[in-house]
Amino acid sequence: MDPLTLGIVALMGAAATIAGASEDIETDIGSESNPNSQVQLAPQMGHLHRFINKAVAGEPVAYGAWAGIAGTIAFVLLNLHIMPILAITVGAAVGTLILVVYTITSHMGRIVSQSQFQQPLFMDALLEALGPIAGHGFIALFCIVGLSTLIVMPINGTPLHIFPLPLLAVIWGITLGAIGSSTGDVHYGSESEYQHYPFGGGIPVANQGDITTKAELGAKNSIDVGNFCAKFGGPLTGICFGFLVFFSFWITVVFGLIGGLIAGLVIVLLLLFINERLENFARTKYGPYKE
Amino acid sequence: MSAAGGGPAGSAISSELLLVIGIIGGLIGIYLTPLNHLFGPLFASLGAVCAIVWGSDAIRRVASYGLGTGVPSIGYMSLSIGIIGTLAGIALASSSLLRGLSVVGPVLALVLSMVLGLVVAILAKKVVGMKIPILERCTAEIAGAAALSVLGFSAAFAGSYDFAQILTLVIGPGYIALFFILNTLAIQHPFNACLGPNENQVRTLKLAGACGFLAMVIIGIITIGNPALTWKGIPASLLINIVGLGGWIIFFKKYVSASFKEAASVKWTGLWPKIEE
Repeated sequence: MDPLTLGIVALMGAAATIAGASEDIETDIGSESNPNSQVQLAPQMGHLHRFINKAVAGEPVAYGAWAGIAGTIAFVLLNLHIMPILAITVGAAVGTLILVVYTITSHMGRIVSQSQFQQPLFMDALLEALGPIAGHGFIALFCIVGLSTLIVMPINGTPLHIFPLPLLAVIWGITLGAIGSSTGDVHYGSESEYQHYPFGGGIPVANQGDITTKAELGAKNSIDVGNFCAKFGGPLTGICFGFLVFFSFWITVVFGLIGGLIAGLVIVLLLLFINERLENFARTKYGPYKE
Repeated sequence: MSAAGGGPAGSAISSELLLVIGIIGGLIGIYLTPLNHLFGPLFASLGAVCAIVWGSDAIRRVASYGLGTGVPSIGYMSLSIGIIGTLAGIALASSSLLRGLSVVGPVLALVLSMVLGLVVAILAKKVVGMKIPILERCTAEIAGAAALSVLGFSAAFAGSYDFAQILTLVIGPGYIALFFILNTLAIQHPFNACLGPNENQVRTLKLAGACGFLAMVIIGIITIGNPALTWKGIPASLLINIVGLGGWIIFFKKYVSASFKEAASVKWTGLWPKIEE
């Protein structure tokens, strides 16, 4: 076991945790992925709103693309012998600009295509959400490209993986998007978007699109959803992505190739066991939903 | 004009015209790549933009049958088919089987991709049981557009559509992964973003142009990574970026004006109007 490599792996895990949390909050502010369906349905259900409708593919494709752009530009700059921290920053900044442009076009497109329901195009709602979207997006991209760069850097002579940086950035981007869409969306703010329904009842199909459009004062907006998701959805996505990145490399760094495979199998079995116990505990303690 | 899902999409611009623009524009751009190291990559990128606009229209036609969340999925699938077809086409053209005929590479890439797309669509209808009448034609078209757009950007970066060059400069360093996902997004985004009962083909295609040119700007930036692409001291990346940025500004402005014009109302503050529930 090499302590320097282990330290790098720990740093990658920390970067992945921050990336996961930022990615989930960014996509929740934009109502990307699952929340998007609810925001999309609202006007035809008679609920006009001031939410962002960021319909950019699914999170995996979108984050694969943003991370791919950021990672490739960083790779080009690294090959020109530019300082890594600067190369990663420039790559993430360009990726964020593209993210912002796609956010604007998708929000405008979706809202305008619902004009028959009298849904106005609120430009102030769009512009005020762009800052938080860009900020969280930049942090996520910086961390993904940063950890991908750590993977390809030849520490002690050999890199942790032989894939080139652009390919790794795309793969980690898709992975993070998928985790944000699955783990994050369990806490995606449906409770926030359906605040006027009793908590814990799930969202029956008949209620879909009947979202909460008013806040304590005035209209509810996408940043309210982001604030709500910053409590559970974001951190959980971060922990999930952080564990995934950390354990992927920790097992082989500590136990070697064959030992790492066995350790990986043991971790998966342990997680299955913990999940089963947790679900049983929750079902026994809280029981089925009652009317 | 609308494409709410569940039927054929109305269109102001015929699909045949867009097909011709995509294929002819795409192929001319790619074939002009060896012209020189400044204008060649520019033409190849412009060819890729033509293919992206064509592919976006094909996505619009097939997805208007109610694909919904399947819009990105068919984009993903067709881009994969396009990349396989492209690599097979240019590899075959440079193989000993067709020695001396490497010039047929781009056409072979297009044909193979479209045939593969057709086979996948037939399988989707016969085996999976999808009931979209124009699935075969549209999947073949999207795969063809994918092939030309990926080959266009690859040729722009490598400065050639020769398989050996693309293998060394595009596939080896992993740029092909970016071209795959960037073009997927550019081709499927316009219709996905404008989805809804009041969708309009012209507005969607304006966005397709903007997405194509934005992808071209990214290609322009990464072309800095190939220092061989200069002519009389002018780097190709500079020219691609200037033209790409100019094209993007024009199409983005057209898209935003069209959106303002077609919106129910545009508000810079305040609440929504009261409507009957």
